[in-house]
Amino acid sequence: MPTATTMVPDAPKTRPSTSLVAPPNKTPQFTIDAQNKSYKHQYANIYFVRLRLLRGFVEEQAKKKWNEVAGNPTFVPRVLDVEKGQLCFIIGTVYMDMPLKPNVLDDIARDHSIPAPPPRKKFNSPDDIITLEDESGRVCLVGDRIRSAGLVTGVIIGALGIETNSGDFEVVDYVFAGMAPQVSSEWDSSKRGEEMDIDESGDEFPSDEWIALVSGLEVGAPSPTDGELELLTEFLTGELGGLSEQNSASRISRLIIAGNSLAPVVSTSNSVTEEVDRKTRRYGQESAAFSPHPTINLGDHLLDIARSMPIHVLPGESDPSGTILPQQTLPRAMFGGASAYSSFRCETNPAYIHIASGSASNAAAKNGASSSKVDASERRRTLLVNSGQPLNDMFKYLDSPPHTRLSIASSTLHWRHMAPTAPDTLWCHPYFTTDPFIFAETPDLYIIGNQPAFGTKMVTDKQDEDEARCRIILVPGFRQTGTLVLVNLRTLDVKTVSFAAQSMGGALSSDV
Amino acid sequence: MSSIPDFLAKQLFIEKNVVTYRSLSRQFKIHVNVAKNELATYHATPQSSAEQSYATYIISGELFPRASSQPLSTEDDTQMDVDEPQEGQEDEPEVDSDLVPQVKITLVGEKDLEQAKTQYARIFSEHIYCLSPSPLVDSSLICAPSANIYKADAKLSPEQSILLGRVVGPDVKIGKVQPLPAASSKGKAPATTTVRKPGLAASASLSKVKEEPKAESIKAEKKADEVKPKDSKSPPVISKPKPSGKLDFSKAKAKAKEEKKTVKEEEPSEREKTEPIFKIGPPSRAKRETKGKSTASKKPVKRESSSSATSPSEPPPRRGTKRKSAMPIDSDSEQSAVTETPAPSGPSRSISPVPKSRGKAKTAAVKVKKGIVLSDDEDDEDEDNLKESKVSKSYGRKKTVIKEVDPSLSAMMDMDDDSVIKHPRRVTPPPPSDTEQTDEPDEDVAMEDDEDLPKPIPKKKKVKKAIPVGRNGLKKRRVVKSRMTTDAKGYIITEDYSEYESVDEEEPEEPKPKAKKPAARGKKSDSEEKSSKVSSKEKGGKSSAATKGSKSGTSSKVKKTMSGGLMDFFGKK
Repeated sequence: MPTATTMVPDAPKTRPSTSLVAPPNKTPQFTIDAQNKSYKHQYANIYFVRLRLLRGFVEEQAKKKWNEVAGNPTFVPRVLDVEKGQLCFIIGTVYMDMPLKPNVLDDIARDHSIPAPPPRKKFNSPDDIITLEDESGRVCLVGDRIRSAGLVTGVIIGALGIETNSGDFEVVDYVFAGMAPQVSSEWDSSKRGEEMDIDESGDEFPSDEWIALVSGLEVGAPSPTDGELELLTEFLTGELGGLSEQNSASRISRLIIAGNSLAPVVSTSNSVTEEVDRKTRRYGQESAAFSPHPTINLGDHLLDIARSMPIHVLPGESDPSGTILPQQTLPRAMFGGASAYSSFRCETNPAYIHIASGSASNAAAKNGASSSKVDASERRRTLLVNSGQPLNDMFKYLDSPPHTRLSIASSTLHWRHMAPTAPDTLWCHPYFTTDPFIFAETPDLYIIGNQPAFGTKMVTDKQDEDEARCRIILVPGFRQTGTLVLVNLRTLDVKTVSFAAQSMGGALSSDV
Repeated sequence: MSSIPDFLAKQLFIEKNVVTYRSLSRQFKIHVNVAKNELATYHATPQSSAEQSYATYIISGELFPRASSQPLSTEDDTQMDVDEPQEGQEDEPEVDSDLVPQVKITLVGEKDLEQAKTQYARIFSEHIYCLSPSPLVDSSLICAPSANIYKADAKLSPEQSILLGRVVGPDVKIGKVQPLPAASSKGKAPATTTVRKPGLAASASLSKVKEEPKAESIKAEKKADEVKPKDSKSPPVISKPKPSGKLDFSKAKAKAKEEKKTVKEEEPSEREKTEPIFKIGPPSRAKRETKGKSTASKKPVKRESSSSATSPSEPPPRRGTKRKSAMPIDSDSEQSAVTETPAPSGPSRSISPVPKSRGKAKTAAVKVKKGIVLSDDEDDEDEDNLKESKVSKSYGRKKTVIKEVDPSLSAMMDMDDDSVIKHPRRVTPPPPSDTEQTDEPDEDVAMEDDEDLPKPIPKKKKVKKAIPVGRNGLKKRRVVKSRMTTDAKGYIITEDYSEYESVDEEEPEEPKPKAKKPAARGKKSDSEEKSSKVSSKEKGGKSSAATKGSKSGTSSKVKKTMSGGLMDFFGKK
């Protein structure tokens, strides 16, 4: 087989350096410390806090938008104070009353002798009722416009309309809070701005910093993709492929794993019998009921990659972590050798990652001088990463043909809330005084893991002179698609690299 | 390089291994790209039919724009990626996505190489990935050499691995994760922990005593209390003066101390049975686990009494206590742990407590009876004591020490009875509410404990409690468990208590005689009072006899404990 020989690079390649910078103070923290590790609070507080925090923004948007509307609508602060026949606008929390939505009471009342129906893919039905509530009460929203708005429970909206004779609120128009202000939208623009203009399409510079995104490795799944994972590892370490691949791999400065690194544990059939045996429970786990192999396998690959670049690992739905958001960091020790690297970081599930170009010492110096924050922000990117649970949950609320995962993701930016369906259908921690899922600022990259297919979109929102722009990236599950996503931190350009093994199967072996 | 073909031939046809460019690179320390070329060269070289190797290739490039997903998925249907087509169809709606360049890297056997190439609009590179003795039927077969690669990589320095083709980023660092500059990190008070580390040993003990007071001083509220404990401590320290002599006696004394402690601990635990009980058996664990306030308070009292009574013996006990305290240090519970732990000096010693405890147990039991607080366990203990006393051989040293101490001890004991009785009841029941106050007391107690440690000699030890026998015929063993409760103020309190647990047949019963630490913590004031009262008259006479018995028992037990120490550690939880 004549194959072009692979050139050996003259000099060893190096990677561009990026560093983590401390988040600004207003960035919400998803770490639940010991003080807040209490589950005794009612979830109502989250809704209350959310409404209080976002009402002002919505009101501002509403007044701006409906200022010149004929009829001179008035703002009614309490939804129950709306008067019939009067054009007005109200602000509150959307609650979707959906007959198909899972209901705890139904679950309890259910006849347990009959197996439960499988969970639905969609909750929506023609019988859904959209209601708007605030501290005073709840009012039904009707009208085609609001029906097609793609709302989910928990969103704070302002609705313009008139109360009908039946007591419903006929919605003429609606507003959201709008995208949050953006702190760092420039990445070293001063330096390379001109070059960019000249060369718009092929704007890749050797010095650009890229990051790699992957999710859903699902090591240990019944139909494993060990081969693809091996290819991925070798690509990231810069050993796979020819010079072109090695070049592009060498620009990747860090890897973010957005959840589901491990496949859900499938308990073996004999686990039941073993549970009875006290011996197995002595160490607090059913020693024989699961194999540590997937963890070791994952740890080996991560160590391999960690030798080459910093890694951020988020827990995901199938990972051995809590099920409520925010999921807390996975224990480092779980990953074996990789945990020896300080550049290997375990993150919470939604996580803000602030990345600056340049070495860590540089950034630290910049950061140390708080006055020079402007400098730091110039070469700084804010990443918001989650493992996909919020989007997967919201997706159930909405009909797919009109709504796509990308459109919902961009809606969350306009809603200024990344997981409005928590705590309704998405489990979350009972926060008492805060709602960390509110966007305090618009991230530069909004990365959502474990999606069925790749997708990306740039979302912009122009408010006054400030323009917020955010690139949404849906990272597909690696096990299903073998896809690795690469993002250019400077231009926010995206490309994908997918790995596959082809024609490995019966056909080949039979030939022989 | 000439050996490469030989190596390949051997791997492929003798050992039937898959050889990837990576494993070849690691084997011969050559650049991965060189390794790829070597594989290609070898594969291109005509071989005898018996030695036919099969190559697997890597193709990377861009697929045809839209056709990309379709043709691939259809082909894959027959193969491994059954998931793709289904999901692809479902989620095709991601149409509103921006189009981005897509690079596809395909692993393909040589037979399908040409066909695979037809999918590509543009091929960036193509190289041989691996050679195998037969065509690869599963992509995961390429992972077979991984284990060796990981081994090789583990030995490579980063510089070497760079020469092999790995691209190492400048940000890769080994070490602990460092908090971001501005990010708030969880800071734990390191000072106390460092002090308490086991390595410090005897010399450290003094420093520890000093340091502990400091830590306590941080809590401004009970400074006065702290001062008192310090004072009490200081005298014992002085008494210790003979370091060398201490060493000689230290073991014996330590044992005695342990015994005393165990006895003390057992008493409270028994009294409080319902409440948290600590096992002294494995000292390190007990230290770590024991947060019981009650135990701390009690211990200190006893210790103090012992220290005061037995000034000569004190120094050795301290060592023991110090070591123990040092071992357990865990952030929050450290202080309390220190106070509690002191009794068992070393891990090995910690085991010994049981035997000691027997001798002491008798005394303790007696005391307890007088005090009114009697536990079910007492009877058992007494029996045990008797047995042990018969067995005891090596008590000589201990006895002498004990005898000397006895008078003072007896005085202490008297004090104890009254105070002790009250304390356990008070302290143990309300553990949750005490939490706030307890912290400070604990520290004080710890200080006192150090001083107290010397006491051990005078006290009689309880015999072990009767140990329930499990279904398998082996004695159950005590296990220290912790439970969390929330007190009236909303503070979460962690209590340690011990329970019997059946033992696996495989494991020896080693753990049996773990001394329970008294669970009741008193406020500082309580502890101080106790200490003063601790000296008991009763102890004097009984203790000597008991101690003799206990010593013999202890020595044998100590050995056991030492051997079993590690097992205990892992097995308890």
